[in-house]
Amino acid sequence: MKIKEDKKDQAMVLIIEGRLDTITSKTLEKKFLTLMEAGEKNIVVDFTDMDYISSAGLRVLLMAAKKTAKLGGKVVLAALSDNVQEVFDIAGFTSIFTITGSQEEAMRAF
Amino acid sequence: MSVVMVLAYVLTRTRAYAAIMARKEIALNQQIGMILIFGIFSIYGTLSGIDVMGAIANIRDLGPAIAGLIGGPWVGIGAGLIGGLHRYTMGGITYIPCSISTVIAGLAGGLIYQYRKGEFVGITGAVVFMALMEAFHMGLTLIIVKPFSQILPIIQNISLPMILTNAAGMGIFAFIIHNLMRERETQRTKELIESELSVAREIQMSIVPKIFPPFPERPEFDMFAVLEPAKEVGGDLYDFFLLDEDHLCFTVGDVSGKGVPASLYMAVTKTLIKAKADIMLSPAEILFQVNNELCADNDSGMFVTEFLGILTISSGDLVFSNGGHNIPYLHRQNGEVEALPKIPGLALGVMEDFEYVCAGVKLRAGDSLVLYTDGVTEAMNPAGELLREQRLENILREFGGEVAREEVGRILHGTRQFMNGASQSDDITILVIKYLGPKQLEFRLKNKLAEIEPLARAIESFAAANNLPEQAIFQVNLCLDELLTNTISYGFPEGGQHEITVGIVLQGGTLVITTHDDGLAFNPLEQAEADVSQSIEERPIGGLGIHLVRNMMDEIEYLRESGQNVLVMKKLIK
Repeated sequence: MKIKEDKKDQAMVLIIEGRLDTITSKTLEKKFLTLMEAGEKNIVVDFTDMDYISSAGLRVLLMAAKKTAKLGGKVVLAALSDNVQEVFDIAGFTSIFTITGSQEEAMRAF
Repeated sequence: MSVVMVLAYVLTRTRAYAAIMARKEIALNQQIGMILIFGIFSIYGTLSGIDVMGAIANIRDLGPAIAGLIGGPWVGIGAGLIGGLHRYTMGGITYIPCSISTVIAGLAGGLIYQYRKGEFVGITGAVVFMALMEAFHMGLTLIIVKPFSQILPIIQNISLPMILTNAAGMGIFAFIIHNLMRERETQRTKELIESELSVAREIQMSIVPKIFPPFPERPEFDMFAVLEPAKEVGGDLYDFFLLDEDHLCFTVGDVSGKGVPASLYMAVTKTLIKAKADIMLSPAEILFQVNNELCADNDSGMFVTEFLGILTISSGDLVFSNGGHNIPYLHRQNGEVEALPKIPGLALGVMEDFEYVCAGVKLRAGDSLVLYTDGVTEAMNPAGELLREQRLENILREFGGEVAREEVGRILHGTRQFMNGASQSDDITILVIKYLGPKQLEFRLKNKLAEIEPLARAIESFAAANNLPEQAIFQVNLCLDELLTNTISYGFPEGGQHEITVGIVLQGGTLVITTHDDGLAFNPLEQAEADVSQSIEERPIGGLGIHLVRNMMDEIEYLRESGQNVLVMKKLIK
């Protein structure tokens, strides 16, 4: 998995490439913590190039959502593939996250 | 004259005739038979003669002369004696020279036979001999019969008809004999060529595998092949064998030239391929080695076009190399027909140290690989048109979904239909390998999280080979990830290396997934259901994995069996 950062006016954009599983989600968790320590509370996670997510990935996203909520910000998810969308549906995450079709759309959520 | 023809015909039907033709010694009873036949013919010659002023114009000498020519001096003299004695008893003024001449005709014929060592003298020779014989007969009569003044007018009248009739009779007989001899000669040459061809065909057919299915214990692929040799064997070959449990090597080739040399070269090529093929070598390296062996001491200038592929059975990955052979077709499960990538390569046996190249393609369950020789694409119809690749593609497009045997049958039928009765000028070889995909997968992993991703790759490959829907495989991988992560993270508190086994079996439309581990007894089904309706603040972090598994799998069963956790899951494939 690779994470690319793209700082925009409204939010920090994280573009995730590859698999988000038990091993790689730890990297993402650290990234979130670093960003929040640096004061970022609005985060967009772009899933265009992410082809896999397990519950470990969901957990990290949930943790990030909880923390940003406390800071008065939020995590917006963009461009989920059908398979990933289904994982979110089954996990009941669709209702607790703002999910958008694209990164551009995600920017309008702030 | 018709009697001459009948005689010639009857003679050719006898066993003695065969001996005459073969220039073998004629058995005594055959000699006696010939003496009698030609003796009687000689008598007939006398009886059918016309009385000319007390002498008989006749063809009496003809029988013994022929007997001598084809049976040797004894047969000739024997027949001559019969005819001569008969003539002797009839009297008349010429009875003495006539009788003597008849015996001499037999003797002279026999001497010619001996001089030519039993070989028939030929039409012209026989006719000239007969004419001279009759001239001698006339001369002898003139000398012996007295008074000269009485015999001279008779001879003047009789000699020309005698010479002509006998020469003509001999001509007809010799013509028939000669023709039959030539016919027989042609027949023999034909038989010789045909026996050579049948040897070639036998070599060819005995060396290619003909038992289908060749690997009944392997449900992952189905194959069938035909090799229909042309009348003049063209040296086609095909072969297939397993390099190991997971690799099938197969080849199709076509030797330049025809007949026995081609079939021997084909046998050598096939043997070399089998000897050189090795799991450690790529198809290009195998062709390289076989080519060098064929080039060494290749004075015949023969060569062979060869396509060679190695199929990884578990994944459907095909790697191939080509030495100037027709590019096979990939007949996809959805009916699409595509030629394999065209790669360069010289025919084998042409140039030493030639470097061959490889290319690859992935087969999916239901795809067929169609290999053939130019006997198919260069099959000719009565109008002289070739079948060509385009028509072969059309034949392939007309069907789909058949087993390999039927697919081969369809192609062969299509080819024959195009040929429409025209003769087959080259061998026709068709080999179809239908990939059915692996039906099961077994994967062993250590209790390390990093080993989950390779498992996912193996499952994806298995799924691709079986055309399984991507979504189902995503879910299977996710569930295994969740379960194995739990097992690896919490199942072995004391650490150490453990092995976890994952088995996947495709049973019709259902994937049956089984995991075995020797970690702490843990039944994931006993975990409480996650409440997915809670708000973001209420949701506990964790407990989602099992929830995902429960929702994504169609059936889950847990067993604790001889110290192992056994989990059997079923996933329906739409």
